[in-house]
Amino acid sequence: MGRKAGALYINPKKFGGGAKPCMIEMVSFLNCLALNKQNDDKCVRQKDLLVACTQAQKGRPKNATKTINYHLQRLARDKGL
Amino acid sequence: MGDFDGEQKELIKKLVNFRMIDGKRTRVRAIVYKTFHRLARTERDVIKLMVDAVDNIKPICEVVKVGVAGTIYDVPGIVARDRQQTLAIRWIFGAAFKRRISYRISLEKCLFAEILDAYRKRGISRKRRGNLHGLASTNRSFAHFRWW
Repeated sequence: MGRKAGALYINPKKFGGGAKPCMIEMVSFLNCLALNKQNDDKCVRQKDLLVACTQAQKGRPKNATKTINYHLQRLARDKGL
Repeated sequence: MGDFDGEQKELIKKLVNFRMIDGKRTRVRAIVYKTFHRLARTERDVIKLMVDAVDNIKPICEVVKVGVAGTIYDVPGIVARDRQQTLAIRWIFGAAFKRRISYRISLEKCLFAEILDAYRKRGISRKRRGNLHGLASTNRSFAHFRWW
């Protein structure tokens, strides 16, 4: 069920490398919006950071080992279908 | 369309294709170009005005319904670049149709008014973007449910 780390059992679903890109930037932008009553003219800095982060993420390929197609292919290989 | 770059060409194509019904592209193209002629009378660069108007309407965050343990939460997420443009154009056209109270008013008049309003950061489509951002900032406490 879980991986053992010392005396602790860690749930790999919860503490795995679940990539959530630009999470910090998004939350800071939303907090800024909430503070300024949805006026995003006052949140230019946070907005620019978020846009820059999303632009940086665009070039990176997604982890192919997490897709269902990868697992289907793997299972098919094992069965020799 | 000789002196436009790729993105501007794509924007004009999208504008035409979005409103097309039953494959009648010529009809929609006439409406869009008439709108551009109206915009040209405002003594500004039409394409730059159009791009700025769409940029002002583009949403950055949106909410996605996610079911967790039998409860449906509105989880805020980042909007992809293509989807931003798609939503902006859809909202501008939707707002133009809302402005068209009777068929006596031509669609290009309403579209012209909405694009100008979007350029000046006001109007129905801008309000819609504000509502979406408001919803995202209200539900920011559920951002940890995001896995994409």
